[in-house]
Amino acid sequence: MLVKDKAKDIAILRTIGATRKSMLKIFILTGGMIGIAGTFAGALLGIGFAMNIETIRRALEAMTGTELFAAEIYFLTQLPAEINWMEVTSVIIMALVISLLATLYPAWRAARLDPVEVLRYE
Amino acid sequence: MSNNIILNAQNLSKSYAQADGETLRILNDFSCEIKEGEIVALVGPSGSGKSTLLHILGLLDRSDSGVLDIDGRDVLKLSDRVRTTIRRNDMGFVYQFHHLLPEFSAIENIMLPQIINGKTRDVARTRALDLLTQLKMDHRVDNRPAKLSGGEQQRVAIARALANDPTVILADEPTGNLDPETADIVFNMMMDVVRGQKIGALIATHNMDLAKRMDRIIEF
Repeated sequence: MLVKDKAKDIAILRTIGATRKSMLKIFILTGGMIGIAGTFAGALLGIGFAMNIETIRRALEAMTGTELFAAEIYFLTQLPAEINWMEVTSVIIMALVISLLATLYPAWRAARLDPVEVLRYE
Repeated sequence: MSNNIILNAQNLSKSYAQADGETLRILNDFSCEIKEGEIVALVGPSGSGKSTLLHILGLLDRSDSGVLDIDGRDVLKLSDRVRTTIRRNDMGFVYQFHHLLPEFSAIENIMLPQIINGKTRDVARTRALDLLTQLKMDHRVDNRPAKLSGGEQQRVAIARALANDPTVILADEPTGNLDPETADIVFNMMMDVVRGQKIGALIATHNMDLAKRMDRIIEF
């Protein structure tokens, strides 16, 4: 989506002398930064959610006036949540690798963009 | 104007395959040369191939045949990377629409091609300020394109084209989007700067009055 939105800017940069390689770098860097920010924001949210799952349950019960996870049905007096830091770390690493890999194709497309074709229709 | 030829195009041809299978011939054995400091008008009706020619001469596109010699090098057969380097060092583009980057200020738009070319920010800023002063835009240095008038946007685009001290400027209807009075002001400023720096220029225009003020006219 970013490549499509920025097609005109890519064409202008190519016209003023930016190489295909620099376009590739720009989009890998941009995608990588978005991936890193998203992964760590997601990790913090997830950890925060897991650490406060019982408080969240109580708050939701108070707000909706219903009993979530009734003890007589689920045989639980409170919601169990255990943070396994090894798993957290491996999920973060996987998310970072996947987000980096996901930047490669759009970055390659940005580098291959033909400035003449883009500017012709502007 | 010197007799030193900076751009020499010989027998350039270009055609496109259309969806119906027909071949659309845009350029047919086109030849021209531009000397150092010479300002040449390219005049022709819409759709005659002026933009395609400028893209080929500006190394953004390739012709099907012919020879294009820039500063003594046949550039048609060079790799994309080398052509990009030549475009960065020797070419300046001005389009009908300014094509400035909207997120950057006027001065940043002019610094950008220089930074891409390896100049430091300080050197690029000094050069950008100098160009903006020459084009009487020094009071609008930090304004973004959206805050500039059409004439001002086009002056910044001209300054950006001149940023890397090119040997040739290629302009596609640079005043085509402006009212006649502003067009005249912008055109005069462009001519002054281009002549002052002894750069060659090929300027596509529909305006015969402007074309007559250049050194030579090529009719398409």
